[in-house]
Amino acid sequence: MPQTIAPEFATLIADLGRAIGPKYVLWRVEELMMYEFDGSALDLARPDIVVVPASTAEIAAVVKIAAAAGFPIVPRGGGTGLSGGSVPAAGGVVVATSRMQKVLHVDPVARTAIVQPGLINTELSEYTLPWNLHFAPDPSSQKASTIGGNSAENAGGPHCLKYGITTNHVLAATMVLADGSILHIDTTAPDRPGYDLLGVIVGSEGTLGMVTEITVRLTPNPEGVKTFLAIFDDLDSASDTVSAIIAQGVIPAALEMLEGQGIALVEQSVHAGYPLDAQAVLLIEIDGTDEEIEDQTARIEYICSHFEARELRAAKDEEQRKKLWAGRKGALAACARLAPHYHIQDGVVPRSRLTEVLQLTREVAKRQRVHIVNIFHAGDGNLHPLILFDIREPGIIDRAIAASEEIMRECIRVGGSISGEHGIGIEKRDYMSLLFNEDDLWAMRQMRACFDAVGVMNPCKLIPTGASCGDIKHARGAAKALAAGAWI
Amino acid sequence: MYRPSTIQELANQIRDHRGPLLPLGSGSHQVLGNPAVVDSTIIDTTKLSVVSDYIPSDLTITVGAGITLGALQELLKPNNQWLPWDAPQHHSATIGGLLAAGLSGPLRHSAGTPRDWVLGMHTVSGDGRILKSGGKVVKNVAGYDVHKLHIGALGTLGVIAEVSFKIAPLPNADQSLAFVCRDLLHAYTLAYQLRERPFNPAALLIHADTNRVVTLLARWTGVAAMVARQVAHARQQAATYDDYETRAWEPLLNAPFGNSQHTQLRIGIPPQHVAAVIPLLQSLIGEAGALHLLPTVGLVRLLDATAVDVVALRAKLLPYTGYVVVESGNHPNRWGPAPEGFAIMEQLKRSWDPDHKLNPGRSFIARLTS
Repeated sequence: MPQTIAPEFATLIADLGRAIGPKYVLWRVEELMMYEFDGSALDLARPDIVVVPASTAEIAAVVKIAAAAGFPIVPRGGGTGLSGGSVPAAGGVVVATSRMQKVLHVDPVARTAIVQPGLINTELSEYTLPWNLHFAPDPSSQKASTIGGNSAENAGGPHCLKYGITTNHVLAATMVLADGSILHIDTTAPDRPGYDLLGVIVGSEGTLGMVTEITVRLTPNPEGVKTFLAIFDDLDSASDTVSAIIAQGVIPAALEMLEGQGIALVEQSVHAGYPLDAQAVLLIEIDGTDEEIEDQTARIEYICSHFEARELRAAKDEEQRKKLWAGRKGALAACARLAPHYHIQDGVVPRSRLTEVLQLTREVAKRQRVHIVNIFHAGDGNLHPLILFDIREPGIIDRAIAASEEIMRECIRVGGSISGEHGIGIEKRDYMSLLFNEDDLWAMRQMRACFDAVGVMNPCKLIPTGASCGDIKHARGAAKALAAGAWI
Repeated sequence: MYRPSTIQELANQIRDHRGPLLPLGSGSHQVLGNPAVVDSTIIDTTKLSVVSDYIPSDLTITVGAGITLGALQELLKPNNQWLPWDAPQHHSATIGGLLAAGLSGPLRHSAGTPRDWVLGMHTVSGDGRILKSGGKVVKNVAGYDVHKLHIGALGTLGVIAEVSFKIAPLPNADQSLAFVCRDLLHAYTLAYQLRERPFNPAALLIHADTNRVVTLLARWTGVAAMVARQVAHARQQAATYDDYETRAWEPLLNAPFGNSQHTQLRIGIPPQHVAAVIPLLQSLIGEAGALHLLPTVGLVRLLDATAVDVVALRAKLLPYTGYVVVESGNHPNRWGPAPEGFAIMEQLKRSWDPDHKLNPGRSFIARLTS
């Protein structure tokens, strides 16, 4: 069926088409539907238009045109985010980076790479393998998520326990600001005078501008890697083991936990060799030189036996190691066997409080009558309680949200945070005031306004915006209803 | 002079004060930046030194900004922990002052800068609001990392009152070697040999003294067997070396940080361009007093560069996107050209310090506030 364009969009679509080529401007409903959601699938909002530019200059042109027409601008990478960061909450123009996937430069001596934002995370490490270098941040989504998205969300991953999160690996960024101007912040020359704008750009969830080129730090591949599976008959011993490993000053490359029902679900799906009857398993990876691996192996063996691990199994070869990791990285999908819908939490607690908070998640599950499976980055206290449910059950969504809130409040109560790596986005925006007071949020809003006074860059994300966000939503919503009517 | 002992007191004092304020830690780096405005009132932060939260098993600590880095390290030591941060005057300088001055030392080669270790802060804005950002846990992406903006800001965006750090296990071996080198290029080449995969020293510093003697100092920390293997490898790379006690770094790190009589320069060069700039740096040795170079970081300090033509030096470094800052001594243009994003920085300063109370005229943002 031929679609007509609402008059108010016609000029905009034509202008955008002139700037980047008409075939890279998407506006038909069936084209837009793909861009309604991200990995969290809880927040849905359809963009008015999607553009797929190929360069910094094209992004600048797109931003200038869209902002002048009063449309919000929402950057989007792989769309794997878990907090609604790339969902166009107030409608507007989604700017996809899928035509900007190049590695522009690798400097093996300085150990840096310059990349475009649409480059898939793992593709960079594959590209730099000949130099024995890799990009350290490794979110579980890394086969699909982009470095632009990782930078916007300040992504983590299992190995950030030892190597740090994305902000520790970004050295420079080119960014298109709300007025279409181009800002290039480069910290490769150390301690350059000026406020650390890059420090707030990384993790800003696209709300300060759109990053179009990124210089990242590359990390040498370790001489050796050793991966263990520690199997426990009770949850407390497993979490005490995690606390003890950190307290003993061992910083593994990764320290992950699966507990309860999650273990059997993963095993049935991935066949990683996890025992079906275990109460908790730890995936412990150490890396470094041979001497470091030897030293840490001895300490890990001692701690695991002290806390009565049933078994400590080391992967014999790369294939076994990959299998153990496949279990961890594929855990989310495996849990679909238990219930078709999920809500994933991202709270962080001090590592010494793990045991009590994990106990609480079990109580919450009982109280709210939902399944909760904990599959998480235990080494840095980053919980991912996975709340599983079937949306067809009456009242279940309210109970799932209540469970989620209870856990978040507990994380804050013990001195933690509501997000370790997934970002605030839409999903946790209204919980920010549990963590920060009005003055704190004022300072953040003021800072944001210095980059984008009008608020066109990814509005309604990260900070509770109150009335102003409602206004945008209302205005755009009205326009959308009109447009939708005209299209169908 | 104000001498608050709580954050609330600090906030009240800043809120109620009219006129310029000068936040002060131990005062060991006051020479940095433009001179303070004459009628500035000092805020002495040294009583803000409470350790509010230290759980050794979490490897995190929260302390008042007025504690000295030395005292903080003493606190961590009994638990076999440390903060791998060897800033100048690290025994006597306060952590708030060091953060505001954006100072770090040779350990940044392996450990990064305090920016990588700070988890969160409480600061007080120019209108007296107590502001929190970040948190106390090792992983946290809730909200913007606005605390990073205060690092290196010379107290112009707010007064740092309390800081949470991630800390590290104290390495069980710590060894250093000093290599006397023919010239800067030799030292630079050797430094890169020492960090060839899988090796990685904890710290690398090239030091050229006023007699033009060039020395590469290397330090290894970590598992004893690993340190021994690296030291053995290093000894094979050079004919001349001295075993160097770790404490022998101290005089270098704790030398007085500039003074108003001498021009001290800080030069930053992206690491990929350091090799190309070596001949230029070599030509400055002797003429510009002692030289410190962090070869893998690209940071250079010339300790007595009174005779150096700063304008000409800036021009020579331009093709390498390097910069020169006059850290001490008189110069009409200490900071060089305005940084990229200056308009955003100016607006930030206006937002968080609307009456321009905080350290007016001191930093690169001076032209706005003076």
